[in-house]
Amino acid sequence: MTVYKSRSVKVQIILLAAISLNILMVSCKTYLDVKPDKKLVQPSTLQDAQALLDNFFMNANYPMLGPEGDDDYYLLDADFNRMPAPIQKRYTWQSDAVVNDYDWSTMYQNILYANMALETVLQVPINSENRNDWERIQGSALFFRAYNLYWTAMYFAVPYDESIAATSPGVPMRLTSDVNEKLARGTLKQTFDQILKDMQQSLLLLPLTVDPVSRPSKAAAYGFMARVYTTMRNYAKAGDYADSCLQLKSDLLNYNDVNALAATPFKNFNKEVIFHSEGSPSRATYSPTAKTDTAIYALYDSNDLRKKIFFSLNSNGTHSFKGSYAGSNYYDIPFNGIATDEMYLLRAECFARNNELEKAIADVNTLLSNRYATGTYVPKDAASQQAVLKMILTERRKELVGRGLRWADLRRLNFEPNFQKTLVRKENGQTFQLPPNDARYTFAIPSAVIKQNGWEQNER
Amino acid sequence: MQRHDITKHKKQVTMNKSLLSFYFLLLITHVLNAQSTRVVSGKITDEKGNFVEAASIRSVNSKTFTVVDLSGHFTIAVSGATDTLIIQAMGYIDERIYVNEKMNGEIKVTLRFNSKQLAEVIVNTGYQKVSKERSTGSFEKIDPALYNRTVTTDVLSRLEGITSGLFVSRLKGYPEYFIRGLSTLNASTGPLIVVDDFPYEGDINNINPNDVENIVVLKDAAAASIWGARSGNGVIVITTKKARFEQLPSLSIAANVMVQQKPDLFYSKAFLAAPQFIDLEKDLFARGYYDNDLANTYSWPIVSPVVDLLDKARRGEITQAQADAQINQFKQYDVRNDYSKNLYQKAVNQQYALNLSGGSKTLNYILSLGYDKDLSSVRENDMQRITARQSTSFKPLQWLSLQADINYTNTKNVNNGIATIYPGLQKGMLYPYARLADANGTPLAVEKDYRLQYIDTTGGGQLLDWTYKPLSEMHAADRTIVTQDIVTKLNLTARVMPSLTASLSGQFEKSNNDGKNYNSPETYFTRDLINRFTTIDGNTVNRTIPYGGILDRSFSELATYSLRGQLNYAKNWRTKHSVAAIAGAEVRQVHVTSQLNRTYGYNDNLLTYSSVDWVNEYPLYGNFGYGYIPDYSDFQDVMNRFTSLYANASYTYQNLYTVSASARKDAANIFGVDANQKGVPLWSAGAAYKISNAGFYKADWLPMLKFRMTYGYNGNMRTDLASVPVISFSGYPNRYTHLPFASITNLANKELRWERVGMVNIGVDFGLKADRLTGTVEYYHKDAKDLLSPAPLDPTLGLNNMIYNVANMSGKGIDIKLTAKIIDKAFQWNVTALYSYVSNKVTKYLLDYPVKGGYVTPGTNIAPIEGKDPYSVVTYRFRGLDHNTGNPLGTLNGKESTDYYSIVNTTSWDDLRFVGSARAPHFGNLISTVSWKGWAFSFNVNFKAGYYFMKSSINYSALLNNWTGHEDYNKRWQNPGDELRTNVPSIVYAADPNRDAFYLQSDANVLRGDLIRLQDLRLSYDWNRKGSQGPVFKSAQLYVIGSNLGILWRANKEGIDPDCGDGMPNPRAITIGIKTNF
Repeated sequence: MTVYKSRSVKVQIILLAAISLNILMVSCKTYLDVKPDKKLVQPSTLQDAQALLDNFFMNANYPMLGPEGDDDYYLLDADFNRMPAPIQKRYTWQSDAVVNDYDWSTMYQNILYANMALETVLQVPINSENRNDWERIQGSALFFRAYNLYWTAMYFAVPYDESIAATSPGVPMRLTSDVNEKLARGTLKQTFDQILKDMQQSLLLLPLTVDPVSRPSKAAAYGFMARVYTTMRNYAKAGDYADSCLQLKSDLLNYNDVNALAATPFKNFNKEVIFHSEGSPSRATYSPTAKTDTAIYALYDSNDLRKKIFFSLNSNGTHSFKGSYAGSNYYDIPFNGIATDEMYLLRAECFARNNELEKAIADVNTLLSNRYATGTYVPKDAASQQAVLKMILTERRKELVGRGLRWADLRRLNFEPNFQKTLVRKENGQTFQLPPNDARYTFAIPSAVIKQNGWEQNER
Repeated sequence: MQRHDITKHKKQVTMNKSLLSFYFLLLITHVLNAQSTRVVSGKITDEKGNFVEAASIRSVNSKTFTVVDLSGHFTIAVSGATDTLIIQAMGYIDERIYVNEKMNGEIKVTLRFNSKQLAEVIVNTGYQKVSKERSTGSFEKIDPALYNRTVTTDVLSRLEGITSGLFVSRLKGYPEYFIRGLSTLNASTGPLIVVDDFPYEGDINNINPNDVENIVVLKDAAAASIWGARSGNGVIVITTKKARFEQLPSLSIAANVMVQQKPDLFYSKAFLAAPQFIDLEKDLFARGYYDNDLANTYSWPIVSPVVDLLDKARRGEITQAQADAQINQFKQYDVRNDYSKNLYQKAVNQQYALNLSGGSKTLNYILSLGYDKDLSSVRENDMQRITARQSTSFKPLQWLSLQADINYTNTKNVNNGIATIYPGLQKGMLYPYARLADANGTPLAVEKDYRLQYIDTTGGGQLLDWTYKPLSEMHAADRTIVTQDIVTKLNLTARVMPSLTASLSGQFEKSNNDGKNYNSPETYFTRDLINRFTTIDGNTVNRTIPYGGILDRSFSELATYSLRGQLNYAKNWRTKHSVAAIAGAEVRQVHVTSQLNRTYGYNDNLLTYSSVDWVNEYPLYGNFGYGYIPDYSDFQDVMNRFTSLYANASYTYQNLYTVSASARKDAANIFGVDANQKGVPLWSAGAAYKISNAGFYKADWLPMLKFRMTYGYNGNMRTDLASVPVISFSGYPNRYTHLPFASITNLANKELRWERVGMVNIGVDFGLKADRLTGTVEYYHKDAKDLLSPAPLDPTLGLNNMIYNVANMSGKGIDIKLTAKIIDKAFQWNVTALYSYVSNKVTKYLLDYPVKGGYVTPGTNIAPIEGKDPYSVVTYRFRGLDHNTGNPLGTLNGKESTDYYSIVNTTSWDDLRFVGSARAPHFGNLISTVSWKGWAFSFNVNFKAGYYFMKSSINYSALLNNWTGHEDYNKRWQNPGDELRTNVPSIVYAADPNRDAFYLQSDANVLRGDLIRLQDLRLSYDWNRKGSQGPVFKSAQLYVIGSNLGILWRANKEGIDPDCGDGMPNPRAITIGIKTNF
């Protein structure tokens, strides 16, 4: 007989093989549950939520649509001619000017991050140990959602006016990270109600101050609320919130300590910054291509340190802005976050509007004494309410040049005949105008967005 | 306590021992059983003395049946005084042996080849060895003679030009391999490489080509789908040399050396010679073009020496005559000569291989050692590789065999050389009259990041030397990468029944990469970084980065294991039925970890270093604001796991009809996909009809004719996607806040699955009488479905697109391989011809480019356009030059236009020209060998046809701003009328990037790529001392190979090699080598 005849050994081998195969397959399920990349996480902890909010683009890449169209700067013909057509059109306020998809989506990306952080936090049970973190993260997520919704409304919804807010279209409010959720534009009132709702909740949760200032704090929330109410032209509330903000943080830089020669005179996160956010540079507003409006440059006294710190002289005699609070090497990155100087001016404006002129003047003097060469500042005196308000708005113009806040100011001040302004640009011998309250103060939503959602497009 | 443990341990050992004894007992019982009848044993070989695989032996009287074991031996029970054994094997004539009681010892049986059939070709798929004759799929076994014709350091590049359907592209500067075109858009495009039955996860360059026994390329679904989800791009199965049982010890030694010419630096047309360049600079200087740079005392942008001299003359520092004298001197220089002399050398590659093998009845071994030393054509770059391999087979019992392999590779790459010098800032290349060394060979400084005038004086001598001398750099840095790779394998095979074997095999691989990038304090890199972080206050020099070297270390480790259990069934019933089947299961893990770190103030001799402050911003030298000290740490940990179940079966009837089928299910630990959803079932089915074996077949002149057809699915995969929301933590903290942060990398996608490639393959194999002409013709059609590709999303989601299984692509092609014995006497002439046609088309792609000009592409990378080849050349339409201005004329909305901004940014698809594919759809090779006595001479000629490429031309923006010149500058339009003789636009002094972009990417610069290339020539002489007296060696071969011999014919008239992209063509090389067997 050959060895093949009796098969018990082989049968055993087959059995063994079959059994081990079985074990193998059964254990497959857990075998395949291992994480493919240690850096990848399905968000579930407070740490995960915080890490999403600490991503720096929550504080960066804010669209520069407003600054492109504002009167802080102008372009020389040669520079204008080199600009891509869409920028040329936005720069000259053409009614058919379009914006890029990412000018819309960057803000919704931040909203997505905020929503995912929010959903993650809500999965984590709150207890005495994690309460502080839990509240800070939830408050931060709500702040970022409101902050981005505000910027979206600033560009893609009409200027806020109580009388039309309930009927004008707002901007879509994405409140979950669900890809399949279908949204409507809603009304402008709904948009601002949502912003205020998120912020009121956020105010209860955020810590008084934070470090670094890329994270939202209660001071930042007060500051932002002051901005929102200013936009809504509810100056009483705006003033209260600006005051609350300054109660928590009122530091000012003394510009005598700033190196005026430096290409980037300010460090980021400097002591005036309450909340850091910055715009993505546009080819038009990029320094030194963008030339500072000569009328603004003429506003500064010779003793005003800002004249040297804020502006560099170009070889052709023009000036360009270099005073961004975003600091670092990137002097062309505009700061549009919340800082104490803005709050002083905002509180002053609200005081003035409420005819508390002494208080208003005091705020201006506090600020400006830190802006002039030591011993040269002559404190302002109170005059008529109208004169003080005008002075404060001029000081606002000088202090907040290049901050990306001008567009929002133009939109709200256009409601007041005394402060209305018609913007004018001259390029290649042609004159372009943007009259007050023009429909072109609101940008067209990218057509891809309109097409996919069937929404009503803005009139321009 | 301890004692107790020991006792316990002993008990276990005893138990194990008793288990073993039990098995032995069982075994002995079988042997005793076997003693009860008369047994004859024998050995079966073919006419050449080789072992015959799967020969079956049947006894007529006793009705017993057996097959040969793994060394060709058999034992069978017979009954009666005389019995007859019938011995059958595929490809051989049946043999009948009479046995009687008087016969003693082993019966020797020699099987004769069946002349009606080709000698059987066995191909290894990595899972099983199948008879090519009885297969339905498209397997290409690489002819060892062709594989060994050439000499390379790596295995894969030898396949070029000898494998049908294999296309090698070098447009990106490194070889990319494509089998039968493209099957995916976003996954890996390369074929799966299998070495000794397991996917090779390490660097394939670790494999010494001298260790390769054979290579099989699996092309269609029936051949490749057994490899499942990774087989969509085809599979290359490499089997290394193995020893045989009962083989006398044999030793073979091979040595060769290749010497390659210096690269031809004058080949590239992207160069403007010094006289023209200087004239232009003078012109531009007069136009005030450099005034801004010269006046810039803030960032001190670099200017060329000519501009510097002109400036000095203008400022009165030197006279105009002095300036002109020096400038005229500059006109004599050509930096390419300096490059060639100082940076390049002849490449010399040495290769030595030693191979020792032998085997007894129960044990065989092979040991091989290899040493390679490649001196690169770039000075100070070299590679050394040591390979050692050992494979042992042990057959303790007739039905059991065991094989153990160990491979070790140690590779050291040194990359201290400089291939190109990049000046700093936005300058693309050095000005043409730059000098790297003076007449005495002393290194000279060239302009780098700051103007020489500035770095000479700034800091009052308190800064580190800030000049950049390229030739001093080569010896100041140490950039080495050492790779060590160990692969161990174990295979256990048991023949559990005559026709059934079970095998268990495993592989463990570990590969370590240790990279050192040391920039000594003498390197520009280090000096520059230290200077940038220096502040000087009077006499106080404050260095934020401490003086010393900067060391970047990188470590990565790859650890993989695979475990496979498989059952193999093979049975022949006489010659009528034959079945071969396998089924198995596999688990595999690939684990990659890596880390990077940087050390400042490092001293390579004392191994000391300094701490630095990563956290705070520091002022930068020269009012450049603030900066953080660059950190360089990164950590990675990636783990992929796979499980697979597979089966494959084929049935052949009367050597006439074969049907086959295979199925495989793969699963992986893709993030968030439920285990039962992770899998993807892939399958194939095929049929073959060998008409020449049919009874009615009478065509004697064509003794071999076979038709086959298969259909099935292969896969492609990406393991980095997930079906659940996933965030990814950044490896480095936020630059400003120093906080860790995460990004959303994936939103929920429940529909995620692997890509599938469906393929039909129809093939014909034929052979003329006496194999005068044999060949294979195959047609295939591929449908790649569910390809992963970005699909647009509503921007209100915060993401513009996400990767889904949304794209489709189709492909079709023809592969023809013919081998002819044109003269087959003492003088022999053999020719192998390969021809392939391949065409790919993207059939579905959802993403639209925001700007139609975004479609414009030279076709170097995959650019999917629905309805087009994924590697298409798409250009703007060029309408000649304007008569008056020399402006290039473009097309906008169907009309002539010079609105370059609009052309580049808003052109509609209709205004663009789809030229054709950038990859040759037709390609092939012709290999001709003549031999006489010991002499052999052969050559390999390659052709490509039907494709296009974009040539480079003058880019005025780059010329004016970046010093990047081009010969075409000399052909530019200068006067009205020139438009009749040239397409090169006039120079404009306010260079317009859009005008340049339009011209450079217009069809003015499209050329046909078609060419015929002489790949190599080979001359060899063989000594074969087999049987002769005084054997110093059994055989020896001496050979000379000339490679990269150049293009015999090309469609373009400009002398451009379309296949080397922007790089230089490989210079000619000559190799001399010897192979001996002892």
